[in-house]
Amino acid sequence: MSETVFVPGIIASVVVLAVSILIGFWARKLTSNLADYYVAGRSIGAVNNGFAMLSLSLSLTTFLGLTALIIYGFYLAVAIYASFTAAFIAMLVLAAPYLRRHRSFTTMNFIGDRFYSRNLRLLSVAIMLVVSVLYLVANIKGVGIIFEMLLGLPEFWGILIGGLVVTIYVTVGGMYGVTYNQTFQSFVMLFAIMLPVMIILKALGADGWWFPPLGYGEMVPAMVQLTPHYFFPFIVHPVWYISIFMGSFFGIIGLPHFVMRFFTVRDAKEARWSTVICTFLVGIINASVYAVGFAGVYYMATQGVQVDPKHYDRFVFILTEALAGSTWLAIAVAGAVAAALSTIAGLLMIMGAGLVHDFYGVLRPNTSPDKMLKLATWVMFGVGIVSTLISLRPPEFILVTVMWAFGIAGAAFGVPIVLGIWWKRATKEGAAAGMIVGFLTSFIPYILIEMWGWEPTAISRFLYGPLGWVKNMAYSIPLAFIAMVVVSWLTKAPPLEVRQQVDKMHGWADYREERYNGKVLPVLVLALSILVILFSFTLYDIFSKIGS
Amino acid sequence: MDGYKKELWITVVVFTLVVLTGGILSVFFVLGKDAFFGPAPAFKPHTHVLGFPLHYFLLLVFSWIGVTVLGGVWSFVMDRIDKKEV
Repeated sequence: MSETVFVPGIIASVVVLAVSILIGFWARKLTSNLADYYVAGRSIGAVNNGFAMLSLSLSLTTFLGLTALIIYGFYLAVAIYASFTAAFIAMLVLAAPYLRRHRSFTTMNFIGDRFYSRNLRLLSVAIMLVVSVLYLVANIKGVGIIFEMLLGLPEFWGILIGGLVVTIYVTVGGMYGVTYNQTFQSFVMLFAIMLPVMIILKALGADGWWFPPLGYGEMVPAMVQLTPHYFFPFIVHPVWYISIFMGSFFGIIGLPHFVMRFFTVRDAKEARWSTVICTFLVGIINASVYAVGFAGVYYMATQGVQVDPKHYDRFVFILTEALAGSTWLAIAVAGAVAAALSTIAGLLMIMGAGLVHDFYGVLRPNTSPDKMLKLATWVMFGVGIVSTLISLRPPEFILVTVMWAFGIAGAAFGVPIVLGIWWKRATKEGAAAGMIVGFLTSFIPYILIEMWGWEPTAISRFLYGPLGWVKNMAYSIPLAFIAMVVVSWLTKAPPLEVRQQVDKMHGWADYREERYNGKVLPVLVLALSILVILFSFTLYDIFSKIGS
Repeated sequence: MDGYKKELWITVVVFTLVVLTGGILSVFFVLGKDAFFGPAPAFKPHTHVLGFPLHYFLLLVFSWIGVTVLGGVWSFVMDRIDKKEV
């Protein structure tokens, strides 16, 4: 990696960008109506959707942010990604097949129908835009970083080229283009990360190099000797781990671009198995990236190499260049470009669909399908251009911004989606209360901490320590649950046709009032939420010392 | 058992296991209460699996392979429930 232009990397990146555009134009032929454009005609199989979800899940934070976080604070980073991997199965058992049976196009569509409220649907469009923009600018910034750091080209051009390429293939190919592109990009990523990591581990002397996720165990004793705190997990309050778990589990259900993938599959069975396939593949990649973080620390400790801490997020590439050579570095760069494109595409798709289908479509319900399709194409193009321009002034830390997006989505969307599926008594007033409380208690701290530069402890003294703001999720998500359960109980039960939706989502042809209508679930949710909040107010005196 | 109750129970059990394997197991049970509730944690891993400290190995493997297997089992059972109801 040098200041000069890295030609092999540029060639590999151009190949990925060109194939992505070609797939977009090819997919155009498959698109003839709105269902094709938004949800690929609900025709995607489990394997295809599993791979598409993989590349959607692995944004640039996997290549750039995670290794830096591992090197800074090892166990915390692994805990974040372990929860993130497990969250897919939480999404599977709590939401995926049920959302598919609902036959919506988007999360906002689901909320509007399930909670029989046009206003809630419009409100959810606004929340979706906030969450998606946070997630999006972080990833477009990542493309710029790759261009500048790895290819020797200005960051500005990376943001512009990356943003435009995705805008073109999403606009032209719609969800078919996005899906097949994401599948293609998954194969690029698997190849681009697994093989270089194998070579890196082999070069460092790991006998298990052929299976990176578990292939570096015999290097551990040397590592513990060199870096004794490497596996030390106690620099944070236990609530930090609970917060990460809640943010991952409900955040992934709440992030509209993840949920949208389930509306594209053929049926509930395909939705289930695509999530299982995705979880297995995400685990392989994440566990291999842990190996890179481990190798990074081991490499510096054993080889006497010093790397500037501000370059820790490039460790995948630093090690690949040092131990595998420039050809493999070019492939790893292509993998990173693919990772960024796939996530950006999913976000543009949900933003465009949300603005046309859930905003304009609600305000102008008599618009013809042909006009809506044309409008969707132009809005998608406009959203892509505006997002690219916004990303020219991106946030400083990619992974941190994505974590905020998870927290906000979990509190504002994850809560009403889960209760909307599993509790018939959930009302529109309850959903509104949950969404507003969840959004405000997570978005206001984001504004104060990330935009106005407040110390997290100025908001609450319990938010101390490394990544202490994460503990905000231990308030916002339980508060959203409490608000939704209490207000639902205090308001009139939903109409019969809405209660019937719940049975249909679970696959029942008939209707029975007693299904999903008991008191155990809401009482349990209330009790657990109160316990989590109370627990987050404990142990301050002990853990403030440890945290500092 | 009624298909509805079967669905609920299986989902509750699988979700609870996913919560445990997704991090809570490692954090609360393997590391132990002394590590968290003591005045200053002095932690040194003693048990190793495949060369990894036990708490790390559990987090690494269970949060990935463990949940994948659980997801597969849940999907298989739900497929069967779907068929029966059809």
